[in-house]
Amino acid sequence: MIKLIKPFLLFFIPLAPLFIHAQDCHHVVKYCEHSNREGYVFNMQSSSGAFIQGDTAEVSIIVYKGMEYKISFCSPSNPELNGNFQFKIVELITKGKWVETTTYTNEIEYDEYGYEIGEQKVPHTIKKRVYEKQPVVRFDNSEHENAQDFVFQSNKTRKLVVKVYIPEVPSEEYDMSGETYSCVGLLIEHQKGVKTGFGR
Amino acid sequence: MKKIVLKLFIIPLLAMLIVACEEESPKSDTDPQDVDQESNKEQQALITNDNRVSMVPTPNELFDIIKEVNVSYDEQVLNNPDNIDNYTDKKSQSLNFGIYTADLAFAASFGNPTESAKYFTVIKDMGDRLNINNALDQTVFDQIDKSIQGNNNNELFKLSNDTYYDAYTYLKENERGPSLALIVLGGWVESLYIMTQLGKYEEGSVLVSRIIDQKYTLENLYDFMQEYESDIDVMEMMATLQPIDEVFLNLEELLGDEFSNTNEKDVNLMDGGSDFSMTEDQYNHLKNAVNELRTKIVESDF
Repeated sequence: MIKLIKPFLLFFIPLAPLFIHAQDCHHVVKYCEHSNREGYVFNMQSSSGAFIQGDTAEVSIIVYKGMEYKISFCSPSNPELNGNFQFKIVELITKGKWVETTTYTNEIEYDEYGYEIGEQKVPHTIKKRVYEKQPVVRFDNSEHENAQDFVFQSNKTRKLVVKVYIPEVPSEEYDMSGETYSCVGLLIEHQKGVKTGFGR
Repeated sequence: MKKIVLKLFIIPLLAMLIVACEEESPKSDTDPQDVDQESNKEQQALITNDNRVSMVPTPNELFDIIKEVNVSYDEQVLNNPDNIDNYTDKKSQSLNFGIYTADLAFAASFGNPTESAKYFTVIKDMGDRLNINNALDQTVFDQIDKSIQGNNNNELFKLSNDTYYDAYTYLKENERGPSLALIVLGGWVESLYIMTQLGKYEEGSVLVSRIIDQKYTLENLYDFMQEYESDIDVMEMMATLQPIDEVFLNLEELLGDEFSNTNEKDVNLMDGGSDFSMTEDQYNHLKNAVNELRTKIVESDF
């Protein structure tokens, strides 16, 4: 039985990324290379998405003081993209203000005797927070020999934006399939505290 | 024997070819621009808001952080699992699924495995009611049983994280964004509620500083929910956050050093920027506002 299954597995395991490609991109980040051995754990702010090559995506994340984070990218469905991602880590200085918006719902109108006399539009005014932001670039991989990951700690909790450019890399497989999007994973990993010693 | 092996290869290969042909067929007769438009539509189903998304840290990540604070586990702070039967509509079920995920994260961080087990059970039950149990793999629940028997709290913490991720991805995948938004909100409110119940105000303390950090997560929570604000429940719940936001909005900003980045042993250190301070009065206002909203959610009183 094992002899029967073995060739089957040998055939399909290398094709797994193609199946991911054929299905959807929601879980793609799970297929990125994780750094568990370095003590990192998967951070739930990681995300997956489908992108047209040449697109730019932005993911806003919160990083806590006292944690070490590692940010990296992968595209198991389009391996030609790996090693070619361009990204920046931007910190937004935020200033907020309140803005009022009004929406309307249709509700049945009754007369004084409780009989329906029609519908009326009822306004609902809701106060909403609107933030104005000013960006400060914290890391740009084009200034660091196109590094494909970024390891950092912060002296305080911050809100950061990861801006990634999905490169346009010609590929035979890509051209033949006619598919115009690629599944890309933004992998965020974290571990506690400062790592010191000979290993670092 | 050879025939069986051949079948193993040929059948999936044929299936793949059929799929490939189906995908290719429109291409041959269609204008490339139409193909682009089709793929754009497909893409929009996955990415929204012009490729901009805001992520909210999970309760697990938060409680992992506050392990540095000397916190003692108090079951009384959490929502009683017996309340589950009070949640009969999707709105209260989603919100309280979020509440219970935060309770589970807290129990897995600071409680004992028996406490965590109660919250795993209630999440499984609530998952059934919300039709998201397809996402919650039975193997995870088997592992949970094993970890409880083995008294392995670290593993339970990891599994509570996995459960949250599975539910999150499942809802996203199945385009149930409004439910997801309510779950994330419930989890955030409960995390903040638990934090405000853990200790008294002490100026500059780690706990207060971690509470102030939630100013940033609230911004991302608003952004995250905004994507689904066409849903009336989501819109209403966003409005209920206003008293909490007002406290955060009025925190005094303490201008810090200039931004700087240094590199030490392959780790970049981000420095500089502003801090915020919170007075005792603001802390009490926040505590009351969070308590009020949390009570509404837990008592399903809208």
